[in-house]
Amino acid sequence: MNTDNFDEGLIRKIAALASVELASNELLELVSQLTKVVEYVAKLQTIDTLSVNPMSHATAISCLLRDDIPETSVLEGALLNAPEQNSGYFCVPRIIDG
Amino acid sequence: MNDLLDLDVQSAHDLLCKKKVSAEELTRAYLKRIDDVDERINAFITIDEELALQMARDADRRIKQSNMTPLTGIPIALKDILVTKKLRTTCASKILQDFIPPYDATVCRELRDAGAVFLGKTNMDEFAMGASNENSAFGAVSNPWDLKRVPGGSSGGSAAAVAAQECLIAIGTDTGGSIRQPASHCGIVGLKPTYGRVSRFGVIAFASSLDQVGPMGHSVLDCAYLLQGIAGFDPKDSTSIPDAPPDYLQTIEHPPRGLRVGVPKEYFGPGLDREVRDIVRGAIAHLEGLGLAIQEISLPNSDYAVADYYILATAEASSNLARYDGMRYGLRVKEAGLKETYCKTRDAGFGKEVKRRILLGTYVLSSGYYDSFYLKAQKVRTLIRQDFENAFETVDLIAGPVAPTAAFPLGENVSDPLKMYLCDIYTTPVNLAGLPGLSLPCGFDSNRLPVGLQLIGKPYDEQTLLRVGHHYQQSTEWHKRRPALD
Repeated sequence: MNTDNFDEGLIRKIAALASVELASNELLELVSQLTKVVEYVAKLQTIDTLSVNPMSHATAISCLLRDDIPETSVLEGALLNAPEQNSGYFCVPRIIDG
Repeated sequence: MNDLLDLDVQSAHDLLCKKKVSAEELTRAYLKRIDDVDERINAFITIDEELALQMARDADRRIKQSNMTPLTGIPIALKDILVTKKLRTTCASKILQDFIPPYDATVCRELRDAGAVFLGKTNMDEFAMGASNENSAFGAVSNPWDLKRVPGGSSGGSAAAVAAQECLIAIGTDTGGSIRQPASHCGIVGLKPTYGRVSRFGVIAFASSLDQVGPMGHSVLDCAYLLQGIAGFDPKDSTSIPDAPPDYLQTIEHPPRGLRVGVPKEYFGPGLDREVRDIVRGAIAHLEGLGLAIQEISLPNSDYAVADYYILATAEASSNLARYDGMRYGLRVKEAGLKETYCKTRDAGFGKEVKRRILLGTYVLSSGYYDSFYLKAQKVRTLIRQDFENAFETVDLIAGPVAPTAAFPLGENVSDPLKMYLCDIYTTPVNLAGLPGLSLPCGFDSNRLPVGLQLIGKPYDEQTLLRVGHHYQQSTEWHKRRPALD
């Protein structure tokens, strides 16, 4: 596995995808640490899995549904820890321009 | 030392039933113990004395009415990853440092309904990411056996609290070993049940296909009582298995003679500390003396488990932790724009290890890398599961070490994440396969540090692990030792 491209530029891109800001002094340490980890986990590339099905879960349960019955509103509880609220709404930074 | 702190669940229940001690007296004894020792250990993030005493008084009312369960009046500590209604829940993170949940996790509701007494919320690695409890925004936890060493993680606070007799029993969670490894390092018992056996509703998610809640205590019997109280189907958890759990207390006394124990040759290779190896082999020989049949087995894909885990768990974590964005709850670092608010909030709120894992998880899921990392890891997970399925055709349970070493010094592995990840070498396969795993004390090394024996069971077969563990403890004394803190 080629990890040569695992550099500051790539980590900045990943951080942007993950919406995490990183300080410049963090980047160098992260490049070194994450390169080691990625090189280690890349050992899976050596295993033959051509005829193996992926496993996403430990149980065979899937797509459980419940009855479509309305339950009690959770509004009060939902707003309990809101950083900012107004008239039963979360206040957030502007999303739509104009 | 107060004799009340030496009780187990059964003897505490007997004394409470006979009204020889009240739940309030028992709770006060533990609160005093926390007051006496926790400054040195830092096992707790939140202690609510008023709540604990109120719950104890409620338990005493139930006892008067003869309306008891085995857990009524029992003082318990809860890992701060389970939401508790109106009681701060932080996940040991700055991003949730003032979070007050509006509801209870199902496990917490069950324990309240059973009349247990909540002493407080225990310290942990932030968002359950760690194997040493050094990644907490509320300070590291110290191992009660040697305060300069780690207790293990991520349920380090729960493990240390039990070991130091700051609670009678505790709840932890285990995603890659986070109950079993700290149990081993702290000389106590910890059980990771089969995936789906205990509800995850209200458990702050790290890796949803791996997380499990489990009991921690001084004895296998104490853990069995606690498991009985929390296991079972929950309609609020879509991964909860529908079958009712068996009566663990009924089967625990059945002698384990004749059971077949597999010992994986891959678990005794290079990397395992020599003293740990000898102690664990001694424990396995003791099982043979109890009449169990020991045979060597192979789990050929064991070497890939840590790599597999750190792709899958971090991928799931990167998705689960996307919710911490400063919008609806938790820390908000206010900026002019939405994206800036997200980025600054998450930078200020998350610790280094959490950020590392989010970045790794995002990377392995991103375009161009998904197939070669994430999809590949899902296929390797199938191979690891198949290794166990093949082994269980000829054995009833598997025995081996919990961790490659005993507890290491604080600060030793903090700046080498890969070295820390390799601590999980014997525990991660069990989570990947969704199996139950039990850690129980089986000796002490030359530094007088505890060493744990791991027993791994077939799916849904916690009973066999509890049976074997309980009989092991009836013929050994390791679990009766206590660290010298006084």
